[in-house]
Amino acid sequence: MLWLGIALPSLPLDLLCRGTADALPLAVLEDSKRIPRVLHCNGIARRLGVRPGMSLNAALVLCPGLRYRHHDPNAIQAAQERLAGWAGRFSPRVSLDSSQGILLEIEGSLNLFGGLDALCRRVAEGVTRLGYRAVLAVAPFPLAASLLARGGQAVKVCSVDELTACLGQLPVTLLGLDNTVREGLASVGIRRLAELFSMPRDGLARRFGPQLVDYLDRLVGRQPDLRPAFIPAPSFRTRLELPAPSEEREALLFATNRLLQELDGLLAARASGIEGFELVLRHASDEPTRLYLGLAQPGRDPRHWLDLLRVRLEALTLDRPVEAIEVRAEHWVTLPGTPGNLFEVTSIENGTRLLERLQARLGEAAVRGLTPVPDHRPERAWRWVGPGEAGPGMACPPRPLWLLSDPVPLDNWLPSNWRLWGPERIESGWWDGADVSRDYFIAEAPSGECWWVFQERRGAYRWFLHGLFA
Amino acid sequence: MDTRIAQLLEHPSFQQGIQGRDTSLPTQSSGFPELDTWLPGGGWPRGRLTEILIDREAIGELSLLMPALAALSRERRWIAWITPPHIPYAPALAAWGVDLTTLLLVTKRGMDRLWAAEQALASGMCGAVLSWPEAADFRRLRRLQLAAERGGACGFLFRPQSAAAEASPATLRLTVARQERELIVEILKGCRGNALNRALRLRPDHAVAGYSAA
Repeated sequence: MLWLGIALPSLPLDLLCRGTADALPLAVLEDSKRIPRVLHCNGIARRLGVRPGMSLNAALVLCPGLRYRHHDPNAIQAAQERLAGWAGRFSPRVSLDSSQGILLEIEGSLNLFGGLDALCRRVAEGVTRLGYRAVLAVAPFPLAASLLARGGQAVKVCSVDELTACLGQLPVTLLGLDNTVREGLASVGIRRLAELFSMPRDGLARRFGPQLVDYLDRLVGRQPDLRPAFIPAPSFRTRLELPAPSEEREALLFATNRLLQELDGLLAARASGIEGFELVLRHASDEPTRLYLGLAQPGRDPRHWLDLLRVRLEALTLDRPVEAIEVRAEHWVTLPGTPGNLFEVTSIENGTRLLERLQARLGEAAVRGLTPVPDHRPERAWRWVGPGEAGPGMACPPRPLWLLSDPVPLDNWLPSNWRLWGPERIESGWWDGADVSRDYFIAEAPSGECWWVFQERRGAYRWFLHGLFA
Repeated sequence: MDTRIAQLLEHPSFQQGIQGRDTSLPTQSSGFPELDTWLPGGGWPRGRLTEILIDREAIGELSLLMPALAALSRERRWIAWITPPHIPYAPALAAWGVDLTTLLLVTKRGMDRLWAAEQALASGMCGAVLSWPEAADFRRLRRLQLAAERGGACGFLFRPQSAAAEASPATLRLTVARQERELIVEILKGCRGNALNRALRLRPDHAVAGYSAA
């Protein structure tokens, strides 16, 4: 077994920063002694003088444009679970780690992803695309991988001997131990794990309790370390708060892309696709703006979704700034195989993307197909259908390429130098009340155009223009 | 070549006559052998724009395209109609041999016609795109031409004859007029040098073939 540990050292800050590409000063606050204080701040805020531990008022004096949010443990937990769900595309066995990290068992995935280096590179790129800063470490045991990642050691250790050497560098404070044990170790002067490894086991057990020895055993694989697998729910409902309210389309798309990447990972882990998703734009007050994007075929392609969303947002005018965005995708569909490559597809059966783009901007009713209908009445010999749904018609004498939506009465009869060809008598439709009785002619003008005209065979025997031979 | 001359030749008002047959351009046969001999590559250019300029509608400009559209529809790619002036009549299209399952009609009051045409042309999923733009300047038509090159469709633009005087980036431009039973086709741009501005007379299948006089 081989384990990949992903540690997210600045997760609370990343949750705030990932929503924007702009360089803004950002800080995460916590309430300590009833005064909001800065818990974490990003590089831009730091350059302006903000430091962790500073009170909010002091920070605002140094940096008036500071954007901040309160520390939200629920959001952190949810983000960790979403990351674990997303990581399911790389491994069938993902576990949550105790503190802001996840563990993946990757030995079975190495062949599929082309080797350890390739897999780690893809995971690293993916996590960056999600907007998180991460440290990746590989070790034969889960606790070791987690510890190395948390210690900032982005190493890939495949054998136990290397492991003790790499672990030796780490400070003892990194271990998740009780305060008493930690203080005890400090008082004895043990600062690094290498020193701890060199101590006799029974001595350690007597002095600091069996918990420490058990930890060390799990670290180097002398004891099994079972990790429960994390199974995400088959639905997606996530919210991302923008650091600064915005109406800019590109800013919204940037933030939405983070969530769409997470959704893509979750779907890939379950070999599923979605038939559509809902985007909710929350404003400071009143009703949120809701957009639903439907896809013609279930699929899993965040670039395509982002494309459709861009088209849809171009048609939408936002009058209020957006403070948070939510993506909801509830109904997942199992996909039979991997989706095809967009650029190789040219046939209609796979080519629904054009339809989706046109419908996203113009509405479904603007993009249609036609089908002939076996009916003698010309205005009923065709009907609107969805694109690609045409059926067979029936043979008939020559028909004009343009049919007028309603026959146009011809008040003055056609000039005498027009020639009439025909007649074609059409009498039909007595069974549904729209019966017609007409004589159709092709009227040929001296200049050569041909019109399709008819004379009613009842009533006032009026003449109408019904079509044009284009 | 002197850079100033090169820059001058880039100006849209200049056309460069095509010397000899340009066989590098993929084409779709028009179905009219006499027209095919005049068109470089032997047919309607694929992946390029063709402008058809007419002085009034319904003189047979569509029947000029029908054989090619029927052949293109059999390639199982969309034949897109962007805001046609009337609704194409399905039985007539079927009679011409067009596979109606490939028909895509995009029309809505007040929509951006050039945007839709550009999407269809660039998608790579259309065999032909027919559009009736209202007012189009050189810059927007150039975008359509580039979209056609990306997607490989035969782009057909129907415009009034007054547009003949304007510069256009379309690869092929021709005017179509009717004289009794004949279609008079004049190629303004895109054919071989000696065919320029000569009138070609075509006799497409006439509607009244097979009828008796009333």
